[in-house]
Amino acid sequence: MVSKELVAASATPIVLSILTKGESYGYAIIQEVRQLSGEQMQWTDGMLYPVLHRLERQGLVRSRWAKSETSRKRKYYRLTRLGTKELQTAHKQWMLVHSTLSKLWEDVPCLT
Amino acid sequence: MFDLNQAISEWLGQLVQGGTCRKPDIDELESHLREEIQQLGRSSPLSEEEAFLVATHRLGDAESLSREFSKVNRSALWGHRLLWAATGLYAYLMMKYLLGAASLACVWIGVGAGLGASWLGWINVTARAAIVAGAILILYRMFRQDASGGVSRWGQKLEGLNRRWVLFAASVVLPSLLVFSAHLAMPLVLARSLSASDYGSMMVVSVYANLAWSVLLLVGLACFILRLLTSGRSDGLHRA
Repeated sequence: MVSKELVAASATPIVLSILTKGESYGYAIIQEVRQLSGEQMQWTDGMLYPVLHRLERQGLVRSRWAKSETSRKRKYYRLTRLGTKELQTAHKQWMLVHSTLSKLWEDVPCLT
Repeated sequence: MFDLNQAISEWLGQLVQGGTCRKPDIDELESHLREEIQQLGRSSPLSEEEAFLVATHRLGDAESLSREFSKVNRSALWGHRLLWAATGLYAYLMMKYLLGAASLACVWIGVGAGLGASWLGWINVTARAAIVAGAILILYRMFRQDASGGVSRWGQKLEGLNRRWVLFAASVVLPSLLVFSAHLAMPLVLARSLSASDYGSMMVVSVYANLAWSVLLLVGLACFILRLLTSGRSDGLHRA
């Protein structure tokens, strides 16, 4: 199970990355995270929405209300140009952290 | 029998009361909740009630959700606080006008009974004190009922009334009636039925009474605020 702090820190890049595939809504985003992480990243579902609203306020995503195929009201979010730029920056930073840790962990016997 | 719509609206009601979620936020959470319940119903043998419990558990408890939303919706939180402050001010002003009108009416009855001017002053003061004491007693009993037996009778009665009429009475009829009687009708009736010197001596007693009343009110309010502040602080420590 991933720690709370790491879940919180990775929420923004994860949401932005999911939205690169096209617009989506809260429930679908959570299902995708659950599936991709093999149920190891457990978000408290409701906490996603304040995150989405913060991203919208920062201009990284834009939202619109629409009816689903079952005529349920849903709020869809999509990435803005600013959001794409932010994701590129976040990508660089996370890859740096990733490569640093990978190099450190290459020859550590207790980790392999 | 489990009623899903009612259960959902009650659950969302907790968030509305928290005051940090706006209407679109609530709609969005409701949409999420319904989708999750439907999905659980399709993929597992859970009953509707069990699916509801699982879905609300996954969504998170109302208190921490409210807290998270408050970080994003600063303006909604302040709107909620302002609403409470305005309601308090409204209740205070209504009470003040009611007191003014009712005590002057008592004085007027005293004039009819042929009482002396200083007696009239004391009637003014005693009537005010009695009305305030009565109001405190009634409020106290209402709160006691609320604490001991779920929904109070008053709440049920209010819900039974037509909302539009209650709003109209509270915003137009009651204020104009009270202001009219407290600041125009009763003072005029008294000023006309008393001689200038009698009116003056009555007012002298009332002035002292008003002084005592204002000091009491301010001290009471300050104690109340202090108590709220200190209890808030210990709550914060507890949570930490």
